[in-house]
Amino acid sequence: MTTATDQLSITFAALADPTRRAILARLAEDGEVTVNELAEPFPVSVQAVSKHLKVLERAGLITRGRSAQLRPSRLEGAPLRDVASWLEQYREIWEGRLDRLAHHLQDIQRKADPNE
Amino acid sequence: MSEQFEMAEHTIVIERELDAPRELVWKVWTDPDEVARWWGPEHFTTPREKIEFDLRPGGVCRMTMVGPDGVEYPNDGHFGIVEPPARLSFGEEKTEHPMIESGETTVELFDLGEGRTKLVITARLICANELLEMARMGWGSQLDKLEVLLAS
Repeated sequence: MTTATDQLSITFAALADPTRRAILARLAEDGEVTVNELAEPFPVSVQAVSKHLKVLERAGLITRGRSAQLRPSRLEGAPLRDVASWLEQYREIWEGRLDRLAHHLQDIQRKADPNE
Repeated sequence: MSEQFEMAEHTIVIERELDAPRELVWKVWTDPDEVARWWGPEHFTTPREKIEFDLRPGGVCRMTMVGPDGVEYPNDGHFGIVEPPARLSFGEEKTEHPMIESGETTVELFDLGEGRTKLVITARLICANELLEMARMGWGSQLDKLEVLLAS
């Protein structure tokens, strides 16, 4: 059985490599990119980039064209966003909590001073 | 998982000015009866019977948040600094996130006069560098833009 945490672990393992993160950054900018285009800026072979793409594909971070011979890669946003937005969410949780704290303080002060 | 992440400390600071005197803010933050009424987070509850505070340095700070589906998220930590009505810290807030270990949160209250208080929360998280790098690059919002782009 695959739990949500397992999926996160797979995503993180795929993200643990700087070349793979750079590939994702390139895809985020350019949309669809072929393996040859992806290999160009990196000091690694097309074969090495291919291996990285396989890891990213298994982790569900990218999809690749099936029919076209060049099989361009394309970023899949959902799993990556779960990871990347965690810190933003953490801040949002606190902001929401402080909104409720402010309301609660208003409530109890209004009750304490009915003339206000 | 074969690859290991390098963990680093990350600090999040959140500030808020409140229309309430400092002593009252302190009470609402440290009295379990009050905490149960606002802690949340959104769509969650933190029932009174699931909060246990021993308000002194090293004392237990336990609270269980209950999700909308009834799933419980227990936090089992300790108080660090307890200096009424100005400073409070508590730690070892557990997370489900494999890239984040634990952290300590410090709450500071500054008397602004005229019944107003400035609240500063400093949350220290121990998280993987990879996560911080992505957060710094604004991956979350960048992905939203990409999705719009790909959908068009």
